[in-house]
Amino acid sequence: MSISLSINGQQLAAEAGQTVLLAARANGIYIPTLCDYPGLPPHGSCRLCIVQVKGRSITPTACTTLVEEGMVVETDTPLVKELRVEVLRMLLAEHPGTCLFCPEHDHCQECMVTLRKTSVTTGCRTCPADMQCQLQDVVDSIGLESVAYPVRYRALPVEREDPFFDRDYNLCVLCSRCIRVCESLHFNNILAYVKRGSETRVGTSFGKSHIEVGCSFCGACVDACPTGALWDKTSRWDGKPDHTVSSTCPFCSLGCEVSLQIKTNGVDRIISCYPAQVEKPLCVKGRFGVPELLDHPGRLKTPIRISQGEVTHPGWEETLHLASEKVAACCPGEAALVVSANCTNEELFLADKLSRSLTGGGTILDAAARYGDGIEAVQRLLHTSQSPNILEDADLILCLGMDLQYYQANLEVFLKQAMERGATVITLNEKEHVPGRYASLWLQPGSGEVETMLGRLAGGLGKRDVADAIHALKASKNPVFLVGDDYLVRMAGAVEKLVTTYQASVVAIPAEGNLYGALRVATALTQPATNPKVLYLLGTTVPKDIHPGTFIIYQNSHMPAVQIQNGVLLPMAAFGETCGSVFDQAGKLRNLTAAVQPSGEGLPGWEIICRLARLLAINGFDYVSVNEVTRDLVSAAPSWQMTGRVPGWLAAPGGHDYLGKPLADMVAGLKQLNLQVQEGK
Amino acid sequence: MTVERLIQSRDEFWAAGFTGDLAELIPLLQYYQETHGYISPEGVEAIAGFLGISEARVYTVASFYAQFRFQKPGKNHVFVCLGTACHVQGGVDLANEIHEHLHIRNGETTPDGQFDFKEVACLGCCAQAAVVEVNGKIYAKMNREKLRKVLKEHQHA
Repeated sequence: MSISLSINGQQLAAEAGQTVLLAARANGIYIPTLCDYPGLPPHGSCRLCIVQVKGRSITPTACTTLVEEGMVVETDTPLVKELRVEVLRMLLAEHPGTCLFCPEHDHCQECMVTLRKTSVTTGCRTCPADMQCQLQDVVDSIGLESVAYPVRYRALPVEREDPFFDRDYNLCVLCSRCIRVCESLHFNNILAYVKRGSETRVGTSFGKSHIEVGCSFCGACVDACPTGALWDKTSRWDGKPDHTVSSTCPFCSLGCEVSLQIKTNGVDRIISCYPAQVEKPLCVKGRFGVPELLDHPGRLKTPIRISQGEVTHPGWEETLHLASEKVAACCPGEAALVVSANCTNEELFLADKLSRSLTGGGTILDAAARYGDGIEAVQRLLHTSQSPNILEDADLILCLGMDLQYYQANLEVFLKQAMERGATVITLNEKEHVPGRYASLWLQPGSGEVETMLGRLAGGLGKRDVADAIHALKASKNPVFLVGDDYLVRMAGAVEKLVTTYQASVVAIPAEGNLYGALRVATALTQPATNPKVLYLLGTTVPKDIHPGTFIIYQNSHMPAVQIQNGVLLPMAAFGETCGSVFDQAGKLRNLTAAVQPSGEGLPGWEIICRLARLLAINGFDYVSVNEVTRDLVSAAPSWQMTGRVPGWLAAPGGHDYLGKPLADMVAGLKQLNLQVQEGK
Repeated sequence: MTVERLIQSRDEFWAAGFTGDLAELIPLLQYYQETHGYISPEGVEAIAGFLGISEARVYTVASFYAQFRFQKPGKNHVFVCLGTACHVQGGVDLANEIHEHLHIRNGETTPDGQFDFKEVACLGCCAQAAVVEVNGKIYAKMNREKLRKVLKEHQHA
């Protein structure tokens, strides 16, 4: 139902049930506010959005007032302005104001670095949120020019022990956005108001660290903070980003939508990763993993040639020439091409094409070694796997091997929502894990007995808790099985059998970012070389059991963990530096976008393969843009086949988060969290 | 906190007649303070586990109310009155004496566990201002010197 009202003399149409604030915002009328946040119910605590409504003696807050037919609202009358200024002054009585009221404020940014022999930084570095602070925006819009009351500095120590974000509650304005975001978007209560009156502040129980109280580090509270009280360690003092591009998180198969914020300053670049919609938080990997991954000291920046352990930097032309000579000198059975399940579809497609003309067979998928015999069952499970959104309609959710403490913790929302609407959540896990704390039933097999328990569930026979689970599964009309990476690797066959028995829908989440694509786009290995002379490693680790004389073409974004004796290292553009596409765990095509230039002399993966193929005089690699590759890829029939054997020398990748490496090796905070997990056990 | 400890405290709460309803949060905190003397981090964890809510939600309520202590009480309980009459008669001076002499602030306990100290609004004997209460006994018409003596007596007792 449409309602008509007037705001500042402008006639507007609004929806019934809409607040005055949202109606004004939808029509381009600005009302300052600090405590309002998308996805959260109105709170009315900052009092900045006060307006005048004709016929009412008080000045209500626009965020808690619903529109009414014929309402006459004024947002900028002298009375409202005066009251708003007073509210802001009181708010600033507890907020350091150096960045707000400084005569040099407007010139600060451009005068920050002076021209001398060495660069000297001038200007204040008071608050990590400088130039990105919503309080600054509000002060500017209201036009306040000085503080009115003596500032009461809280003198609280800044909390820096936890990974990823710092907490400086001296800057907090007590809007409670962080508390409310944690509670309503993540169904968690890590933060809360502590104490009362003038002593009130935001904190954890007894000031414990966030790791101790079980925070998943999704960063939703950091994104919600209007000031610099909660701030990302990697983006302190960054200022306003130049532009934003949308992309897909590459660190697991969920394919969460992300928004990359970019700021470039000459050769310096700053890149940070946020959820595309604030209502849908990412997990710690996506939210905080990107900057450290991209600017890691281990990035491969120039093409490198290694001969008998001796390293030279001959440049792209010569390096590729050498690689092509080595490949050309091979017989078809002596070369092998290994690809990672983190590569984009375009890279996989081209690698497959190259491999077929060189060796007569397809590429070898590194994940095949990880999944072993279960790979075919994983393939069938993935074929039917659906998006996690189907969990919203499930009347029973069976979690198989989902830990959810840190990685993929954003899925927890679905489980807690399911619990709230009265659906049954059963979790099967041998270890202590997050859903185990609140699930309707936790099936805890002894270590090594998981597969047996899955068998008992499928067989419909069992005692005690297993019997309860079987009963619930049989009674369920719409069961959904949420299958974690751990069980896909260890017992895909048993999981598949259970799924078939109860005709459940499946949400399978392998750890590799593009396993679906890797199994579909390419990868039909026929007769892999048993002892290859040339080994082309596209985004994968160097196998340990390889003959030391093997010539290795190592194409990756980061340096190899193992020393290579003979070969070339080709620097490949990483996530955020190149375009492409991946398939998520439900088979949906998702785009990766190039937001910044590749690090050093790096080139996009597809381009390197094309250049090498052209040097080898192979036809069909005359692509000039990644879009052309995508077009060919889409028109090619999807193969969905995986035949032949896994070669003995192929070792399981050291990590599967990103191009054959565990993300925790490159992101210090994740290492800290992993240690925590190990200690917990 | 180990699962065993959580189960142990859960059984204790059950035995005391609690059911696990969210409305029992404040009575639970009161019960815990009565039986343990103060609200410890373990206590917050036990109550959070019992009610199925986060520790922060327990702590936010507990820290709001003045009736809950978060430090282990000392052997001797010192209350300094800062009501109107005592204030006029130098109650603040007495509180300062405690800061300077025992090195503790309002709500704290000395490291040796001898004294805890709390500022209170009125002890109900304004005619005797300024008053200090130690272990339930009222000391009338106090000044810094007298207070030092009283503290010394209790320390050696």
